[in-house]
Formats: sequence, C-alpha cells, structure tokens
Amino acid sequence: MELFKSSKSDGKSDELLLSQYHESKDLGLLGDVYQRHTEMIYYVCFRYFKDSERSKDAVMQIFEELIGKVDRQEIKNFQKWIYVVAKNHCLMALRADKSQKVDFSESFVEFSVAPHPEEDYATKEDRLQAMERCIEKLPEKQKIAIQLFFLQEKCYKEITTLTGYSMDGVKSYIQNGKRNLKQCIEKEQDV
Amino acid sequence: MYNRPDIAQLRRYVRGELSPQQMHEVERAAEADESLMDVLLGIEAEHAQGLTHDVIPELQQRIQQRSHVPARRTSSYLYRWIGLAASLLIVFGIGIYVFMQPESVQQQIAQRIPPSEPSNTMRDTTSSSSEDNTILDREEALPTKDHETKLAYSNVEASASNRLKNSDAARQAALDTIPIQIIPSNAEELVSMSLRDDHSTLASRNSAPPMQDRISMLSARAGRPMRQSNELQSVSLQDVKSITTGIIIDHQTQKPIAGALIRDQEMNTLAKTDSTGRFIVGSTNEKPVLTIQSNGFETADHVAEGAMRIALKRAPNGAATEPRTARDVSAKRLKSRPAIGSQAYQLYVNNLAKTSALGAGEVTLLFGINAQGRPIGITIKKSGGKKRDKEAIKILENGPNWIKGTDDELAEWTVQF
Repeated sequence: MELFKSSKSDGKSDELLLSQYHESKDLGLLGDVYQRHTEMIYYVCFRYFKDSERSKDAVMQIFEELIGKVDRQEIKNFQKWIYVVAKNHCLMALRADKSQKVDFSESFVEFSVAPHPEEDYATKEDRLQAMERCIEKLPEKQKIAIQLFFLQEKCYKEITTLTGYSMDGVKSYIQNGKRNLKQCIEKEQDV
Repeated sequence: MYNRPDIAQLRRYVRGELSPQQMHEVERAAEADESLMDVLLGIEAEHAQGLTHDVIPELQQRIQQRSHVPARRTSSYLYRWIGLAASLLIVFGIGIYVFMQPESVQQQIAQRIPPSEPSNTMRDTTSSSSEDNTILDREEALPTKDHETKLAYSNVEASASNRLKNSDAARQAALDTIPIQIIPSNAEELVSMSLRDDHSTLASRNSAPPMQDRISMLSARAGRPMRQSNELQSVSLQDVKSITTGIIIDHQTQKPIAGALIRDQEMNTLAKTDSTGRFIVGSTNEKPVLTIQSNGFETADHVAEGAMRIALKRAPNGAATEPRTARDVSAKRLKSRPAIGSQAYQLYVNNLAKTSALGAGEVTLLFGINAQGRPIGITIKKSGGKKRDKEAIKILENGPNWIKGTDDELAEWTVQF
C-alpha cells in the first residue's frame, strides 16, 4: 500500500521523476515528488514541534533544503530518504531552539529487528528461544507490555485496560522493552 | 506481515474508530516503521490540540507555487522586457517625430527642389557690368514681372502654427523649436550674403574683387548708394516688441522657398529664409508689415501674426518679379493704419461709440503716431458735437496701437456714433 502518495501522481515512481528532474532541472518535477510526501513530512514535524504553523514552515524549509541536497546525493528510496531529512531538520531546529528541552532518547523510535528471510528453520528456532529467554529477563512492566502487544496482539488501549498502565506508559514500556530485548538477543547470539 | 496503513486509517485510529484488532495492526506497523510511528504520533498530537483544519491542501499549493515559480518568473521577465522594449520604442518614436521628422522632411523637400524651380535669390535689376551680365544670363530664364504689391492679412493656412500666433510663450516656443536663420540688419552684408551664397559658383569662376569693393558693387547693383545702408535700421533686442516666425512656401508646389527676403517696411530690417523656408524677424512694432520677396514669385505684404505660413504665388510666365530694393520700399508711401487691421479697429471703435449712448453722429479725427504706436496730438477734423468729440478722442487714446505710416502725414479716422 502506498501510504502518502499524492492523488496527483501520474503513475511515475518517485525515483523516475527525480531522474527526470536531474536531466531537465525542472523544479516542477521535484515539487511533484515532494507533494506526494507532504503529509508525512508535516506530521513528522508536528510530532516534534507540536505546532501547526511551525510545522508548515518546516515543510517549506525542507523543500528548500531538498533542492540543494537532491543533486548531491544518490537517492534510492525517496520516501525513506526524505523522512530522514525531515526528521533531522526538526531535531536540528529543536536543538537550535534553546528554549525547548527535548529528551531525544525518549523520542526516537528504534527500528524493529530486521527480518531474516534467508535464515533456515534451525537458526530461526534458536532466535525464538533466545527471544523467549530475553523476555523473561525484562523488567516486569516491560515484559507484560511486550507479551500483551506482540504475543497476544493486544492494542495499546486494551493493554491499558488490562494492566491499568497509562497510554504513554504502555508505549514507553513497549519501546524500552523492544530495545532491551534487541540488546539481549544480540548478546545471546554473541555467546 | 502487517499492511502499511494509509493516512485515513491513521486518522481513524486516532479518532478511536477502529476495532482493537485494527488498532493493533496499526500499532504493529508503526512499531515496525519509525517514520510511520512519527506520523502517528504527529497525528495524535494534532488531534490532542483539537486541530481539525486540513492543512495539507494549503501546503501542497504553496509547494506548487514554489516549485513552478521559476517558469513563471521567466515568463514574467519576458513580458517585462517586452513591455520595456515597447515603451522605449514608443518614446524613441515620439522623440524622432517631435524633434527630427519635421526638420528632416522639410530638408528633404528643400533638397528636392529641381533646378528648374524659380530662383529664390535677390535679383539685380540695374547692373550692366559683364559680371552682372553673366549673372543675368543665368537668370534670364526666370520669369520676370512688375509685381503688384498688396497688403493683406496673412493667409495663414490651417496648421499647428495657428495655435501659436499672438502668444509670447508660443513665440518663444517657436524660437526654441523652429530652425531659423537670423540675418544681420546691415543691408550691405545682407545683400552680399544673399548674392554670395547664391552665386558662389559663378563668383568662383571670376576673379573675386576685394571684399569692400564687392560690397560696394553689390550695393550699387542693389540700386542704392552705400549711404543708403543707413536707411536700414539696426534693431536692438531691447527694443524688440514682436518676434515673427514663419515659413515661406511656394503656393503651387507647397514646397518651402529658401533665400526669400522678408522686409519689415517700418524698420527696414531684413531677414532671409533658411534652407527649410523658415525665417524669424524682430520688430519694434507689435504688428509690423512684412514684405516677402523672392525671384519668380509675386511680392506680397503681410501683417505679422506670430507664427506665419505664407504661400507665395508664382509670377506669370515670361515675367520676372522684380524684388523691391530699399529704394523701392522707401519710395512706397504707406499710410498710418491700425495695428489690428482697419476692420477690427473700426468694429472696436464704433462699438464703444455706440455704447456711449451719445446719439447718432460722426467725428473725424486727425492725429500723429508716436514710436510706441500710440495716437498723439489728436485734433478734430470734423466735429460731431462737443460730447461726441471728447468721447471719440478718448476712444482713440485708449484704443489699440497704430502702425505709423511712411507718408509723414497725419492719420485720420472717423468715429461713428
């Protein structure tokens, strides 16, 4: 499913339009590509700024950055690339804004463990066993939240109902649990 | 694996419109995709602030405007340059039309006058020397005729110059814009200049006499001795009351006549038209009578009226017009006359007389004219009664200026009550 594709898309991929932009230097092509991801960029900015006007300004500023950067970098996946650019822009802006104190360690979302489609059944079984051992080692709240969310497939809201944790708490326990779980599994594999 | 939710699904998630299973799918997708999680958190933050306005169309419009600006700018610059070029072209064209075209056209007309056209130079009538015979031989083909002098108002043709007449500002404007040639009032120099210009080729063939001798000779040819040069007055700029400009053209061909002489009969000042047929002459009278002479054309008298356009009629074939010499002019006796013309003056005087309500009657007055053109020494030649006599004198004293005649006789005017 294409998440943030613009309705104005003419069927050409982002990368094809970028290629055409490199050849023609027609800023309209770059604008068309960027418009496909405007929503994503806006909400990423809103997630950090918590301010609509600032987020809108950031969207336009990122587009200006884009004009300079797109020629200097090889872009294989524009959506991921522009997300990184947008997020970095917002984080840099917040860092420059001395009035705002942001705990970036809390804000960052860790990438999930990459799938390993090429690994065989035995390896996969080993990883699952390692994961079960690591889950048992997690702090109680993280362990409960991880088990309810990943194993029993409960949503945040259900978890709050079942556990009495706050919504933010559930999200935090899941995120921290994922991070600890990842570190634990990597440690188990090293051993 | 979980499907990646779209923005609408994320919004429904935030609004709590999804089932627990759907919510879990969204959350699992967000947990697996950092960018999706950021977006989800952004939508949740927006929802928490109660913002319902969809800003995305506005943003896309701004991006559209920004990303298509260069093309529009190019177009805008193009139109701007075209506009600027067009403006410059218009200004340049107007400039050429105003400052260049009239003169250049007239110069072209002057240059196109064929050799068969009548000569515009003064013609000598009294010379009998061999040199003069040579000149006469050259000019014999030109029509000659005793001209009939006529005094008439200028037959100024309809032209822009009409709007300028009788206006000091217009006269100044004419001075500023019309190419003119001011001829010194010294008669010998004038005549010599005229003849020297027109016969320079012939003069070059012959041994040129000393300049002073030549001037004396030309003066003699002009039919008057050297001392007659004193008859021509030098007009000081301080004494100039009127400046008359104009153009002399051939009535038949409408082409300008170069070298035509314009003589102020009162002051005996001379001017000569330039190559475009234009002239300028100053006078101590407000309405001087100008005599225009040119070989091959009938001599005409005109009352000066600011910017003039005078068309000279050609003399009949076989008859050459003899231009007037200073002696001719001095020999002509002109009566004193109203500067504004007899008809206009009569209308003015009689209207005032009738408004005085002194009853019907006539008063004939005799008077002199001073240098300023004012009636002086008014006496009663024929009385119409004391009151009418007194009123008639008052009307003349306060009336328009006169032009003093050369007949040295008192002016006479009858006021009709």
